[in-house]
Amino acid sequence: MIRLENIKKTYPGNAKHAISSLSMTIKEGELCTFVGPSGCGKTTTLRMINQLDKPDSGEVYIQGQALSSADIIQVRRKIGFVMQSPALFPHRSVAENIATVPRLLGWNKRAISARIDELVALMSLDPLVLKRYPHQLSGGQQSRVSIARALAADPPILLMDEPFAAIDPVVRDRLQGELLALQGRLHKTIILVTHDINEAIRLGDRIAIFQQGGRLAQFDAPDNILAHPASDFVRDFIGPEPNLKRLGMMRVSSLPRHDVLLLRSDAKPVAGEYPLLSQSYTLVLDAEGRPQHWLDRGNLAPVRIAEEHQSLLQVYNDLLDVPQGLMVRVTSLGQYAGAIDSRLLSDALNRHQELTRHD
Amino acid sequence: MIDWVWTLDNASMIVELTLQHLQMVVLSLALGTVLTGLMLLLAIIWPALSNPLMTLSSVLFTIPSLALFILLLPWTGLSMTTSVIGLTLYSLLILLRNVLAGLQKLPTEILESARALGYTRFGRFIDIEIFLILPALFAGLRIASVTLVGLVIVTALIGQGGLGQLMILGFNQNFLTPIFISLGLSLLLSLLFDLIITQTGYRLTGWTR
Repeated sequence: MIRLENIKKTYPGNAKHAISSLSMTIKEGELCTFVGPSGCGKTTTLRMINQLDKPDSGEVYIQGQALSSADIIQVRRKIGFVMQSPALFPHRSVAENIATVPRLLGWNKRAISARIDELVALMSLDPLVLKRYPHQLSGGQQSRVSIARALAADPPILLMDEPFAAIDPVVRDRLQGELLALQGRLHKTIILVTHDINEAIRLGDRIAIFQQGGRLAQFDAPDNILAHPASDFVRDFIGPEPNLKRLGMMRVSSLPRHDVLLLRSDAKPVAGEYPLLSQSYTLVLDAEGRPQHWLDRGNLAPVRIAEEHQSLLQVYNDLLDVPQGLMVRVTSLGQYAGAIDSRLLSDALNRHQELTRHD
Repeated sequence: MIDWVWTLDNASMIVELTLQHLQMVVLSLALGTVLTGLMLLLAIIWPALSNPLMTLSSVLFTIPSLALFILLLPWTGLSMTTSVIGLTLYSLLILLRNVLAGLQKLPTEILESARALGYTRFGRFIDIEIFLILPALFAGLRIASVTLVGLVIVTALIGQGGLGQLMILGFNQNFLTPIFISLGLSLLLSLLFDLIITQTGYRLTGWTR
């Protein structure tokens, strides 16, 4: 999809290479994050993909086409670009901002206004903002408009240069979630530059970790990077708790089911079909199959539950102060669906599976 | 203090001179704006020109206006052309300085995003830069119009001058009435220009509010 070959770039007045010799391939439909310390060449690399910066030597290929021989204006119109600041055109209303690329491409008015309506729904924008000017919008709204503008002509590729860096943490968290939901529906090829390893892990199907001089320290799925950092540089960069980060990426639903001893409310034991986690405690269920309490040698103890969509990091945190060392999995209706202990979490880390992402 | 009888007797001359004054200001301002647009285009095509243009307009602006008109005399004589050329030059200098300063202050991330979205250089100028420069242009037009209303009076010394004629008449005859009328009408003209330009600018730059 996007292939960089032996890219070299030096900035005037700077003896060191900004990028010394970079080759990499980004696959179609993946959300790839570029992360690294400042000055590592990640943004320069991104900007070369639509030739905002040109490499001194080497070639960028998009869908097999070499950019050095392409009509770069046309190529850019097929690549969405989101900058660190929303950089909306201040003299244009929100609707006109979103319509920028379709207008450049010569779409007719009806097609453009239909597309604007789609994007407003897609980006959960209030249709009332369409007539406003950019400076009348909040930061989060401006970011959404900026993404809508980049997506307007439905480009197969979306480049994002630290799009959430200047946004407050609460809104950033929400926008990250929205981006993942969006990608779940659109399956674009997205490259997102960030300096925040947690953002890179949360968003990336694959993460490219850059090192000074535009060298790729590691380029792999987040779980592989966290489980097997390729160098001390990567180990330092991903921080001291890679296992916790990995747990943060996994969901309760990814764990294999295990059972505990069960007792129905009418005191009849229920036979579990899955491996038993513990013989010491018995879980009492009500008539609807919802967990009631633990039975521990005649004493009743409260139950802590984990829902299927929760992250294993959250479960691990809760497990730390559960006396039984056991949490109960429940369905969305609150019915018993197995149990979890910390050994299961270790197993999950060791299984080192390719993860399906559920964000 | 003001001889109203004289004023009424010469009303048609006063009106004619006022219109002439108005005509020269409008003509020079319009020509200056068009030339500024062309220069701006040059500065955008060759950004290296921007600084020399800036310096040149600063230097030319220091030439005393009367000297400039007299320098032009060998070519265009004691004509309306001479005064309009001179006046146009002054309005160009004022406008160009404002507009170039505005151009240099345009937010780079907005120009960069236009580039990234696939604007051609010319398309970006027409769609983005011209609009973003409007506030600077209108600030320049206000200064230029007021300056020109004053400068037209100087052209009376080369036989033109609109209301400046009244002033010369007053000086020659040691007669205050035409001088006061000339002053008052120039003041009114300045205010009128300022009002029109401010209002037009306000309408065209609604997005800044």
